[in-house]
Amino acid sequence: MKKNPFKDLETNKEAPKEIKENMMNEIASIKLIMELGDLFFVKYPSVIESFLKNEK
Amino acid sequence: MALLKRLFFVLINKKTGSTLKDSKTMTDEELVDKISSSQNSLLFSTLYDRYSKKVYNKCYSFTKNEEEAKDLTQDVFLKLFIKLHTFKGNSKFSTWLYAFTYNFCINYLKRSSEKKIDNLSDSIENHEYHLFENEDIDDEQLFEIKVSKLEKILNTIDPEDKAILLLKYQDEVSVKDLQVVLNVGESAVKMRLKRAKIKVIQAHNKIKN
Repeated sequence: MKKNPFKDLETNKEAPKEIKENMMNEIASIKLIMELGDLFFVKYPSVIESFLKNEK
Repeated sequence: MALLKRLFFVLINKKTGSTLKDSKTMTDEELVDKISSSQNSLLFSTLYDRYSKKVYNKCYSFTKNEEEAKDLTQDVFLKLFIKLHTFKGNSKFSTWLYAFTYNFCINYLKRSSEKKIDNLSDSIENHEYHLFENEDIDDEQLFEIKVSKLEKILNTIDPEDKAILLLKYQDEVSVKDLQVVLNVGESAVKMRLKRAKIKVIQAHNKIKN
């Protein structure tokens, strides 16, 4: 069986350190947007809905 | 009050520290499960530490440019954070992640006007069909190609063909797992592999002649 040349194609470079920092900052922004979306489009409407139901 | 504040921070740090410590011993699947349910970015950073090098090198294999590979790696992990819940555990997480990365790279290359496939692959497309029906390429024939030539050839063929070959021969993903990650049937996987191998052999013959 011949040696698989696809295995030798793979490079072994280290990922630059700044990727992680940038990514964590972006994730923090994404989480904030998701939480704000949840607050305004899910939680607030459900509070208003239950409030109006109780009023009736 | 100051004491309470300090106690609060000690407790928080302890919890964060123990979460991180626990995450180091978790399997990929356990970690993914936890991240999907909690959206915990600290746990996600553990997943990043495990796979960033692999993903970066895979992106580099498609772009051949460190800056682009860096941006792509960052975007892959951002998209991964959002799409992690779509991993259902039907294959190994690493297999799923590699297919996810390749898909991202394929889309990037398709979008990028600078990275259009050159004339060589156009001429391969033209000759595709007469070899299609007649030839069956076995792995030995593929393994005869020298690494430097194979690298050149893979950069000229369709990125989708390149991706399936890398999944099969570099990441050693079985046909069964390819079915799962590509979401196609067994015969479709085999057909795609066969087409990709034929394109590589054709390009190799063209270089030789």
